[in-house]
Amino acid sequence: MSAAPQVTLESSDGEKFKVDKEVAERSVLIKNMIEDVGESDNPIPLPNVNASVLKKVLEYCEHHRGDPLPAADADPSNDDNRKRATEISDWDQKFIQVDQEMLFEIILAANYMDIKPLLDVGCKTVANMIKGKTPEEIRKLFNIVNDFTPEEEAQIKKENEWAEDR
Amino acid sequence: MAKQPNGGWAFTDDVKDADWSRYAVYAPRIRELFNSNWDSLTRLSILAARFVLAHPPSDLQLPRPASVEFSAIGNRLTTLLELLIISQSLRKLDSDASRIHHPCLEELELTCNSSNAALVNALNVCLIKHGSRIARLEIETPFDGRVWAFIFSLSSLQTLYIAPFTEYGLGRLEEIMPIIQAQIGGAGDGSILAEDADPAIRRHELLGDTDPRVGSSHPAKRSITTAMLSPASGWVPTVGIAVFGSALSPLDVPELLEMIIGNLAAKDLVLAARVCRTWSEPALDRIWREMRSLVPLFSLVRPMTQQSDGEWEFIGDIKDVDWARYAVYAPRIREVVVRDYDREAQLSTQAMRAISAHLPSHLQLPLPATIYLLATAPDPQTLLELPLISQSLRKLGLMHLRFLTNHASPGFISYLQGVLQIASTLHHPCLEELRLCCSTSSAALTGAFSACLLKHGSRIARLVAKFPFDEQAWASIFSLPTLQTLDIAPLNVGTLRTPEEIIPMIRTLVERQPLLRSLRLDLGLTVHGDPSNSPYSRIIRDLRGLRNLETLKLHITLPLSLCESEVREMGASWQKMRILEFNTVSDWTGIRLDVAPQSDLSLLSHFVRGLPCLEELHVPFICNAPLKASQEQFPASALQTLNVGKCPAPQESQEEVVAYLASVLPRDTRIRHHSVYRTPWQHGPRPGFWDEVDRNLASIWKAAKQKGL
Repeated sequence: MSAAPQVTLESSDGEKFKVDKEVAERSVLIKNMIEDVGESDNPIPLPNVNASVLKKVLEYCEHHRGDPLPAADADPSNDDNRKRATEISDWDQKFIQVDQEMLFEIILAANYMDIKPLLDVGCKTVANMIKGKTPEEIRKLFNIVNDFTPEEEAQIKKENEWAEDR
Repeated sequence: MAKQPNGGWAFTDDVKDADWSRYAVYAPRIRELFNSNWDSLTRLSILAARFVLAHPPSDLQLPRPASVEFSAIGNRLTTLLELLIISQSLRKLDSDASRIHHPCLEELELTCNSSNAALVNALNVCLIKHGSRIARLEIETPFDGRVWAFIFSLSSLQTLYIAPFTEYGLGRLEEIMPIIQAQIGGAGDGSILAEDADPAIRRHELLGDTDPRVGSSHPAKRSITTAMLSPASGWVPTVGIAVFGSALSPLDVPELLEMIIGNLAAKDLVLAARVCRTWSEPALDRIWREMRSLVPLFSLVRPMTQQSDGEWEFIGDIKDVDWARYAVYAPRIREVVVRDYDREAQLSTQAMRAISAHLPSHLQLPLPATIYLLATAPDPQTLLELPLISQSLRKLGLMHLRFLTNHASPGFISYLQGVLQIASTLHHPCLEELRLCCSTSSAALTGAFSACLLKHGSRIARLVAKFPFDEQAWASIFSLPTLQTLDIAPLNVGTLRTPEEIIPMIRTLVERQPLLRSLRLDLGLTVHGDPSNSPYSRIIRDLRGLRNLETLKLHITLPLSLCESEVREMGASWQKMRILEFNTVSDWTGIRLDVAPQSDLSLLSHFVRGLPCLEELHVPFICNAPLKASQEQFPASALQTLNVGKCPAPQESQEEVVAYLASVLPRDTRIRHHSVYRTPWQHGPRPGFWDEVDRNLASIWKAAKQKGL
């Protein structure tokens, strides 16, 4: 039995990762690169992803290597699709338990490498960090400056109070 | 066109005037263009581009996209400049845009690992032209002090990415920092931390990144990133170095912030909208996107009070000054769902008339892309009183809910007819989805339905139609040219019909709509005589002509007895099938077939073998034949859910059933069932039988995973 085809990825800090092509192709960016350029022994450079983040991303891709790829035209209004979209598996939850800096880097890498399921997991995790917090707590958590005047903030609160009970 | 040896596409013959007839249907729809000179699959040859320019019919235009992104490798020429697609419509570009008459660009990206005086000059000219509008600028090409000056004069700039150093010459951060600090008011003490000693890629981080004056929410400069070129880097010559903040945050990327905020519940969205201006926009868009009532919107115009019948009325008369905050929210509304039974959410008829009468001419009512009406009563006037149906509409759903009665009143039917008529008098086709569900019908309603399909037929991709069809309704559906998803319940609710009445229609449907990707049929049918002569299989056989089906859900109240050859033929016909459901319950009519399932569970292996894309399978199985664990190596299968319906008492022990399923199903498939209620023909299994099977299968697969099998 012949070995599975492999590709080499090179992180922004020059570290090389040899992985199964099937694993690397969880990334639509890499899949397209391989299709466009053809298979070659040259490493595929990922100048926006450093080694520690790439290692983590590849761990995710390896775990999900056999999963069906998300349909590009999945109808979000379909109940089944919506249900799937809100679920995070136990493994994913454990995987994404990292510090904020790494979490943000994983999201940026997933966006850059076009790995939609990983991007979804990352974004949902940030959303979970936001849930239940006051605006001031959110600002503190993410180091955001409040550029509203107190009057403007109060107006937004008043005009959107109706939505709180939805 | 044909692909040329150099990779680009060229015309195979001379282009004649008559050849342009379909061009105008599509060219104006192009809003965004990605152009690369290295993607040979999509690249237009220069000769072809020149030919187009030399022979354009005078009454046509080249595409006028709002966004053009061009990427290039090597020195190959580009079709971007050959085809003069840069126009006043442009909002985003990464190349030369200085020839445009008025400033229009909002985003400019230029990446090139070397430059010359002409390129730098062109960049300057472009910045001068569009400087008043550019909010996002990304320049990754060597540039000089003149460009710096122009960058700092950009009045609307919010996001800046720059890589200003010469290729193969590492820049010194000390050279650039004083320039940046002088322009944006300093950053901490300005000292530099060498974070990475790798000589190939030197990463530096400026201390003081938490300084609120230059943090990620600096009001003038939203984010600044510089990049340096590395001699070691290959394809993409730049390596990002964050100057402010340790890394670009996803919270600074609008589409990522939108995704994050999209996961918040309503209560958290209201809190998120108050965090800062950047967060406020996507949060408010979310809050106001789907409205279950228009009362919150019009309460911004003038306070409202609830009347004794629950409907809302304005307090006092509306004046022009009352509309000040309306425009902040109204354009955000994309979906309106009107529920006539939810009186607390309804505007009174007087209030709606006051709105129509007093709306200032410079403002518009919300123009949602989706309107759903869920109604029980004959008098849900909202959609007729407030003209919410506009050219922006993409989805329209009119659903009669049968809480109280099976039959819609004549008044209600004429109301539905009125709404459909409004939709069919729109100027251009725009509807992509139409839903009409009403247990009773009239010739006038089907006439309005057909007129609506006639108007929007060229765009409708999804149709849900549940009402008694006449020939006109069938004919309208058959003639839709772009239909992909069809969900129909075309028969009367109250009476069962014979298969002979519907089968010819199904055959015509297969002939006229061969490209359907999704079909759901709900048919309350009955057959006299021997149930083994049930035409369920005949209907399935006819539907095998729909080779592109990815979803098929049949809810037909007839006995179903599948055999091995039929399942094999399904596999040969439906290679793309993802969701397959054969049900004997008609949801629309509420009729259930009270006959034991007749398709043996041993057929499951043929489904798995023959339909590789299948993710969900729902068949009312029965376990008649002895089940044996298969030794066969099955091909890869996408199956995730098996629903056995009301599969009654297997004769085998549970262990044998589990062993069989474990040998046939792909790992992690979940078992579902409908055997909550026992029926007269159901005997033997405990109510939790299939739940236990599901649990035991999960244990087997978990154990296999742990062993690394």
